Parts: sequence; structure tokens; C-alpha cells
Amino acid sequence: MGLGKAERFQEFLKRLEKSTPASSHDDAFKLLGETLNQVEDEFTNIPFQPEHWQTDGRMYPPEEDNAREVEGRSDVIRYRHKAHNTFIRDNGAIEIRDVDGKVLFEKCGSDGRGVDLQ
Amino acid sequence: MASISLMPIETLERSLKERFPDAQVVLDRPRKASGAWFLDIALNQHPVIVQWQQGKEFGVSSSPEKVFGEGADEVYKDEEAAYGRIVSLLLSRTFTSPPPAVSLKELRKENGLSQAEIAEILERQQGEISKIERRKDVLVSTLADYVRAVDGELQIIVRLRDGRIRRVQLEDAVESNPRPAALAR
Repeated sequence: MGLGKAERFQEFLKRLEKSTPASSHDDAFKLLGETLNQVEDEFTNIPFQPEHWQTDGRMYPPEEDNAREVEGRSDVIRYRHKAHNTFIRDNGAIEIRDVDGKVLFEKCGSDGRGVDLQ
Repeated sequence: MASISLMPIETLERSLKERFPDAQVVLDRPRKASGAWFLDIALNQHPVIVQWQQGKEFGVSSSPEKVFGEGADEVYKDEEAAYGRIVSLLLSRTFTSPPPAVSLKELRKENGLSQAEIAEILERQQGEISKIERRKDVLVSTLADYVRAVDGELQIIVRLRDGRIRRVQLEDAVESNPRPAALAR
């Protein structure tokens, strides 16, 4: 208990990295949500209340409402967070970048291919 | 000429572009209009991020920290209030600060105190401290004493619709509720 946000984010990435690669967009989306919620439930006692707009100190996974098209890439969906973008490819690949474009995490889909953004 | 109906965040975007022609103002539209919209503003590299969704308030954040999956630092009921706060943040080059919510119990534990120690400081029974920590409604004076016992100061902050922030000073709080001797400084 009692890990800071930076440590919890690293734990989330570590668990995501170790997990079995997803084979579809929906599997990857589910994997992201389950992994982050597992970390937040384990290391904080902040209840899961995604309907609240204002921060409660908990990290929330992407939601359908955050989805955006990616120009020229009909196989990729971008999920916008306040300071990050999470890209999910239809092969299950995942990429997380901060809003300045710095890549923080990459995971290939089950076919071995990444999101492969330019 | 037919008028185009703008989303409130598009109106905000337009107002900010007019107010700050040199700022970078980028609207990040969701795939569906009913989704979450974002507005990224930067004036002389000072960033402000606004988020909005139909039926929800305007979220405003400006922070050098980038925390994954976090909600807005501040929320405003309408675009006028959000506009006032955004202008203030851009001109003053200040940051928003998220209010991390903690329970009284968490606050006590963060400060390494037991209920018995708080009870001793407040000259009360431990059971009373336990009750205070579980209550949904607490007297301001009780809360103020509790916060002093964990070596803090209770402040009541009001955020008005136009973005102004005021600290409320209650009258006669000290006179009507004398402090326990251990808290008198």
C-alpha cells in the first residue's frame, strides 16, 4: 500500500509488459483496463468512480468516450487522456505516449507487430 | 447566412483564440461528438488543458506533472467560469493543483498518529475520535481541532463560478468552542 502515482504507473507498465500479448483491439482495451484497475485497487484505497470529472487521485484506464480516429490508420484507435494518448491497433498492439509525443510504452500484438506509428 | 451551432468547448476555443492570438490553441475532437473533447492551449510554452463532455462540467488543468489517466485538477460549471480561470492561468503562468481527497483516518495515518494520540491531544476519549473519523457530517470546530491535532490548519476554500477563489473565515468559531489546552499555542 501507499505507492505514489509514478511508482503505480511503473507497476502498471511492468504488469502490462509481462502479460500475454492481446490479439485484438478489444482484448488490448480490456487488458489495459483490468491491469490498471488491479494496480490501483491494490496500491490505493480510492474507489473506482470514473464518472467524476475531477481528479480523485486514482488513475483511470481509457474509455470509449475518449476514442479518436488516427489519420491514415483505420486499424488504430487513439484514446486521449489529459496528458497522454493510448494507441490500440486492431492486432492488439498497445502504445502509450505523453501529449508531447514521447513514447512511454510499447507492446506488440499477438502477431508480433507493434502499433507502428510514424 | 445560416448560423452554425457550436459546442460550448468550440465557443471557448474561439474566445481564447481571440483573446490570445499568439497562443497555440488546438481542439482535440472525439470520434463521436458525445465523447470527451480536449482543448490544448499553450501561451509562451505555459500549458493549459481543458476537457469537456456534454452533460459534464469543464475540467481545467495546468501542471508540469503528467500523470496517466488522471481527471481534471479543477472543474467549472460553464464556459464563462472556465474562460476566466484559463485566462488567469495563462497570464499568471501559474499551475492548478489537484485536491487529493483523504479521509480523516488517512490524514491521521499519513502523520503517523494513532487514535489514542489524537484523543490525548484533544482531551477526548479514543471512541470519540473513532466516531469523528466515521461521521459523514462534522462540526467545523471539531474538524479544526482534529486538523490541528495532526499539526495542520483547517482552511475553507470557496471556488466561485467566475473562477475567483476565496478563503472563508467563520465568525466566533474560537469563542464558542474553546480549544483544548494541548492545542492552545
